[in-house]
Amino acid sequence: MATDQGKTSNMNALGIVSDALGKPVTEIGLTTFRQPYTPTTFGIFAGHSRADLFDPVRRTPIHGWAEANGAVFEDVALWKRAHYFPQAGEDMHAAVDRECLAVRRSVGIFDASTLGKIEVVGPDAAEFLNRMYVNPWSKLAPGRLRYGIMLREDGFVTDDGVVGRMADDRFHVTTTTGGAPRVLQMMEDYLQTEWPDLDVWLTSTTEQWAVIAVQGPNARKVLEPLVEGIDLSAAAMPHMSVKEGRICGVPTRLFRVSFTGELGFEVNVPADHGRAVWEAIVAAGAPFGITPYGTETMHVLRAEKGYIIVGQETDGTATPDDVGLAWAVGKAKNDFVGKRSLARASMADPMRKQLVGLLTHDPKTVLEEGAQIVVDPAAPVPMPMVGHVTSSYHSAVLGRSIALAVVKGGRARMGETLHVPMPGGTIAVTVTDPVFYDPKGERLDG
Amino acid sequence: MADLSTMRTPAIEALVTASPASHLAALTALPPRTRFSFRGRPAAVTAFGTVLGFDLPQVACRFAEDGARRALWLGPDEWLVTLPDREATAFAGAAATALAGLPSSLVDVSQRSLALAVSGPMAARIINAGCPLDLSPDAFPVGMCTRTLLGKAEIVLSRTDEARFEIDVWRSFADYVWRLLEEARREFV
Repeated sequence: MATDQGKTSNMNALGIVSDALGKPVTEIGLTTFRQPYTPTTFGIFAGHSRADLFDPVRRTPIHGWAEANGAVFEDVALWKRAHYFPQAGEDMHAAVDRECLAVRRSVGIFDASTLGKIEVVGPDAAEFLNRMYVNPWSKLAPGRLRYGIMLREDGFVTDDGVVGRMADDRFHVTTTTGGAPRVLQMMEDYLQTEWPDLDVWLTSTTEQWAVIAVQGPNARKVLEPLVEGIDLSAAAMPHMSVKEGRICGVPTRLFRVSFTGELGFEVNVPADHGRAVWEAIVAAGAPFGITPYGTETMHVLRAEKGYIIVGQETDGTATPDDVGLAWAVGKAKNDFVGKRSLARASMADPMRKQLVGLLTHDPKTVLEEGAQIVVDPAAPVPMPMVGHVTSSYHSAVLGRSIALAVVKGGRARMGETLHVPMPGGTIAVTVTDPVFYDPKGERLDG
Repeated sequence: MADLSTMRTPAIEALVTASPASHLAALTALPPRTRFSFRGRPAAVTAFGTVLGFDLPQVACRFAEDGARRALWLGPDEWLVTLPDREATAFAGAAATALAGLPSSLVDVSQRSLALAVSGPMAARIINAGCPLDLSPDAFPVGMCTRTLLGKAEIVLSRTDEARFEIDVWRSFADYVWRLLEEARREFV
């Protein structure tokens, strides 16, 4: 009955009931009246929850710099994230092309502070992670990183992130931006209800650290003069490693990691120092044309490499194998959350939807994300659909469009032509490997 | 190369500067402090107390303090410990030594959150604008602390005096919490 509690609708309803029963309204009776008895404004219900106070707006320690440098922001959960940094006269497409090429050719800088972070500490930390993630953790040496995948009990991917082993009993776990609270809650739930015997504790450190990603072939040259006590050379600090030391005098956990496919680092510094360290890196990068980039460029760069985003390539029904990550599953592990579900027959069905790349026959055509894929566009309606487009962009470095998709039996369809029916006509695409750029991964080493 | 270790950019400087004064309900940002989240089994809890200089409180939702050090009970095996920044390095070293071999977790969360104080005769009423707890002195006495909600943000609330509360709030929620408290203070400034 909503906000008027039936004061208006009651009279109409009584009239209808009166007609139906053939009795006068006075003999029908009344509904039970509830508060509020007098009309109430929406303002009373809204209270403080309006304008700035409708929802918290979360800003990173580097937000002010991005704002001052012309960033266009996008909402990611409650966060404001820099989407792209247009220069005079640039639209989003032009800005993203320029940002992408800067990272591929020299160096870019990106605010990754919103990444969820959880410090997992205690003598049973590795065992706990063995149970929570599909990956094995016991043999990961301190100072090394591993890409972790987490399933729900139904065996479907629910989060991913890079995990660093800081010491035998201490891990620096990262999660997706939107997944941070959910992952911590899921971990706590298992720890408190299933495994209270494990000596391990979880602490959210999302907001303790500002995270500055420096990515591109010149990333090492930019950072080298700023760090103390950290040897950034390829021999001392290979891809997927972490070291503690100082940058510009500020204590840092420096990750060598890449979501772009280029030589890359992620500089973690305590939040209040994020802005000053960011500005110091920007200044040191000036001779290399260091370019701030936003989430759109980050998305394009990772798609060129076929790196998935949980929630974009996955939809709550994707197994690790569906998205090409079967290699990450620890085959020798006794158990982990979701393991039993992965053993079900349907999970090994070769006709499950699998991650593939799509190249449009016309390289200028950029597919719509979410568009359905069919084998035979002449088939009668309802046309059988074999999958959908999950990510689609123009790639500046490749000079053409690229797309990721999940397609039934996709890995057995390499080279096959499929079709994407759209209101303006059907678009022909070729099924390819999802790694479009540097398939051998040689650029990770600079 | 410049040493930037003393250059900090606080989360809500502009709001603090623009805040009107009120003797009925003062709102202030407290200076930076060192924070540790401590978790552990009983043996570690005892050992940690010797480093801290006093026993960790065992009564639910109470804090203990000595000088500038404070330990807030947040859960049966969880405390938030605060101390001055100048003591941080020595304290962390001593704690690591004392806790060696004892199952526990000590995590530096100094810059995860920042602290505000609400004080004056209307302090409880201001906080109640966004927090449903009974803040009468009987129900929420001096020395009490708890994780709770202020509007849509999680906070740690402590009563340090009859008419003074401290709020610890995650960095990115501080802007919202400050604005919400300002909204509640409007009739008292």
